Amino acid sequence: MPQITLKDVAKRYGDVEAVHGVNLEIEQGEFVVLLGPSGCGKTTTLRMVAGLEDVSDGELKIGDIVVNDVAPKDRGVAMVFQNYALYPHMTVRQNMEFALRPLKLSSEQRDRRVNETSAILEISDLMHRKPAQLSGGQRQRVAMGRAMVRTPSVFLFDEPLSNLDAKLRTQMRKEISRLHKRLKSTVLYVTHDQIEAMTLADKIVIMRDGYVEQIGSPEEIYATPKSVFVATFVGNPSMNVFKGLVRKGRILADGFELPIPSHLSDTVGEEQEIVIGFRPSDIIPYQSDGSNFHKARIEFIEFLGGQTQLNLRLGSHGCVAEVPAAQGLVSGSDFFFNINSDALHFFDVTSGRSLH
Amino acid sequence: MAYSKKRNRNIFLIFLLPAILVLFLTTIYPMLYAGYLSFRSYDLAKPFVPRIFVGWSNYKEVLTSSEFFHTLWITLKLMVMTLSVQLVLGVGMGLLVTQRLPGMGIARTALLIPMMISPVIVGLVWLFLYFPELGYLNYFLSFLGINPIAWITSTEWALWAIAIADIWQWTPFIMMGTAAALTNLSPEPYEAAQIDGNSTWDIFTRVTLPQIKPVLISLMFLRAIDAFRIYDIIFVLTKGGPGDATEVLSMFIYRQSFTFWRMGTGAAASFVSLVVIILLIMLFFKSLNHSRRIS
Amino acid sequence: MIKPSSQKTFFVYLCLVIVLIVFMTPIYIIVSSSIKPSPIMFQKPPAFVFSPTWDHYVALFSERPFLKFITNSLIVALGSTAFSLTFGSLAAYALSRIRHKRMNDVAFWILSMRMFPPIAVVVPYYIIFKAAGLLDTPIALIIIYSTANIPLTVWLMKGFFDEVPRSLEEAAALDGHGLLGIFWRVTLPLAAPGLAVSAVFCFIFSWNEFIFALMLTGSQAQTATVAVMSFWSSDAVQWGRIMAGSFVILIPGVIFVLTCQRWLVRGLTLGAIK
Repeated sequence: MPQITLKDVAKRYGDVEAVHGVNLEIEQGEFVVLLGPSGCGKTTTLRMVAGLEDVSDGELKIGDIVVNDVAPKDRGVAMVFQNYALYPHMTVRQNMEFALRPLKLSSEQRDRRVNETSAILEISDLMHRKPAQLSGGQRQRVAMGRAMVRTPSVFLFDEPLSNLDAKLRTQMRKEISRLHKRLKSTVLYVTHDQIEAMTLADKIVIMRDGYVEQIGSPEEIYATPKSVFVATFVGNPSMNVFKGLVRKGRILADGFELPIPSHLSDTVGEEQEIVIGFRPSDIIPYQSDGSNFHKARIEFIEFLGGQTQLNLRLGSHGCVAEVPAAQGLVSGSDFFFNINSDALHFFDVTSGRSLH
Repeated sequence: MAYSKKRNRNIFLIFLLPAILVLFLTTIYPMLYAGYLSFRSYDLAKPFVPRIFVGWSNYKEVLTSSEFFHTLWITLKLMVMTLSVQLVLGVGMGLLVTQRLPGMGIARTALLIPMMISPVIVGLVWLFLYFPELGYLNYFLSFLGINPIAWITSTEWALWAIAIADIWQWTPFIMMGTAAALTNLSPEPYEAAQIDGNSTWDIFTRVTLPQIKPVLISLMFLRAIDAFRIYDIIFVLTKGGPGDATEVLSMFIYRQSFTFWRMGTGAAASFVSLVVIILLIMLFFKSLNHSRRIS
Repeated sequence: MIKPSSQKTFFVYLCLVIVLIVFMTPIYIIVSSSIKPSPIMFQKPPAFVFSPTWDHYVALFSERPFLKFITNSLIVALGSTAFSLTFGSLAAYALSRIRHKRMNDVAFWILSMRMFPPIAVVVPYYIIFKAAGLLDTPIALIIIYSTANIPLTVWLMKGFFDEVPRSLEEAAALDGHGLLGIFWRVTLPLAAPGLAVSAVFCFIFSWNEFIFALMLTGSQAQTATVAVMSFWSSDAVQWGRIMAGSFVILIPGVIFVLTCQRWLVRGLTLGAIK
């Protein structure tokens, strides 16, 4: 039985529907990430699971109980907020104890839980400090400690790392991953950072404009994006997309043309417009013995250490390629390349959905 | 915020209710009562005469009496006198106390004291200064070559006497607001203007003033609303006299009600003044929304 | 900021000295006249050095029950402050948290209650309190002052509550705390400075008020401001006593300016300027 079930869950503010009928199942112990640009409804969805927003429509179940009208405190969830939401007038210890207060534990039990949690998070020597005296990373740990101390069945994270600098973010990301493996708890995690999503998630839910675009493992999302949006949103640098026209067994695009792959020949018709996508890393520089190659102009080159990023002009469009470093390339010159034909993605031009 | 929104909203309404109820009972009810009185002939000097319904006649009496319009004129005159001086002086003092020089903090604090003083005490200490023959003000002014002025006993100067006391008490208010607004401004526009070589006066009128204008407008409305409430200082200094030279609206209402015991007329005058106040309050709220956007 | 030239510095200090002399003179007069012997009260040039006398203070407290009047002022001011803070902050919390477009109208209606001229309602109050037998009691004044103090508290506290991050309350709600617990243990402690500012302003307003106290009290519930005024009579003005009384009434306001001046702007502009 899934631990959390969302069935056609929708959120309306007045006449505006912010989240449209989300369907999602989260298994016990699973780490699920809601990923999407700001305003896509991911935080609203999380807050509905928490009970901080009312569910306008549909059914939200935790375990086998419908919790649409259950108060947040009775849902057995704990949440880590984007700004940490630590009580500024309480010490770290008081912050954690305040979370336990409604459980009415004996003082030994309470102390034991607080001490255990603080030991796991390595914040034991900060217990007497107030939040203002902590660094960003320390606050983050305390916020997690306050959630953990209640031993909830589900953890909710709302962009927990967005206020940290890049280095701390990487460190805390690993920390969260480690804790999840150790506690084996169910996690629902909201972020707009695809690296967080790819590295942490068992399952990624990609949202856009209040709709779920795709649900799948990080590998699935990357390898077989189901829409142009998912294809371009996940992966850095972004996937290159071109419009193409099907004509006489070939696909004609601005600046290059390709044969129609066999698995696609039945789904596309003559003179149909489609969208072609390929990742920058799937561009293979021209080999001297290659026969079928495309030509582009190098606009400028960015050396990124191990990789080199080429900004190309292909026909009238921009295009990005990622190639191994030190190729002896110069900007302004021509660049000959092949595209890994196994890595091509095709989408419907109107719906944006994958044609595979 | 919607954690069990429906139940919480009810609790919030319960939070709100006592205050609303108290305010309703203590303001709306007396106002309705005043409204009721304003249509009655109610003479406290003749307690056994029934309070008969007289229609609009109290309003007619108020609105046709030259005394009432004189009163309104005096109120307006006093308002313009106090507000204009307070604005100019207050902004000047605001600029002064925000200079980054030693001792400014203490000076700023000291200058705030007048606002916290009871208006009666303000009236009394200025009465001391104005006092005919004895007061120190004329003595101080004699050093500037000014001949003795009959501050509170001449129709010419009595209104100024009141205005000066009010200016003394409330100029610090404009100063404080100006200083607060100035400290909230970002320094970049000034640095840019100084690099561009603009004159100090140009910087003040083109950079500073436009930025603090919304705040100043809100402050001025607050002062204008208060100008309709001014009472204590006049009560102490002139009681509306000499003659009716300083009889402002609130003094007129007081005299009608408690000197001549004509409660109906007093209530009708109150209502007319309420209309003006409501207008000012609405303008104040409008200006507030503007200055909110700044700060 | 560019460092001011010494010429400019001199000019600034010159202006400052003039402003300070003008604005501080009346306060100096209250203080000095309260300890000046009556014969030299109006002496010219004024005596800056004289042997102080406590006669005026002694007379103030012995000739009339001035201590009782001060106690009355305290009772009324503290009573109204407590009353206004309780109802005002509850209402402010509701106004800060209910999301409804009519809520702004309610807030503005409450504020406008403070701005009406008191004289406009003094007649009905007089009649109502007379009928209720509340004339010349502290209760009458507590009720009336709360009419002005509740709106003030509502507006100030609403500003402070608005500044408490919503996520703190949400975190507490998720942890299982109820609305009242959250209000009492999370929101209110964080808005404590607002509570202090509101309390001080309520107190000072009630303490300084004069018209209602004059018209609605007699010998029993008379407050200090009215009592001081009573030393002024057309035949003999007892300036020494008046100034001594004025100084006593002045004390709370001065203490407030010295201790909480950073909140003064916010309080006096009803939260419009922070």
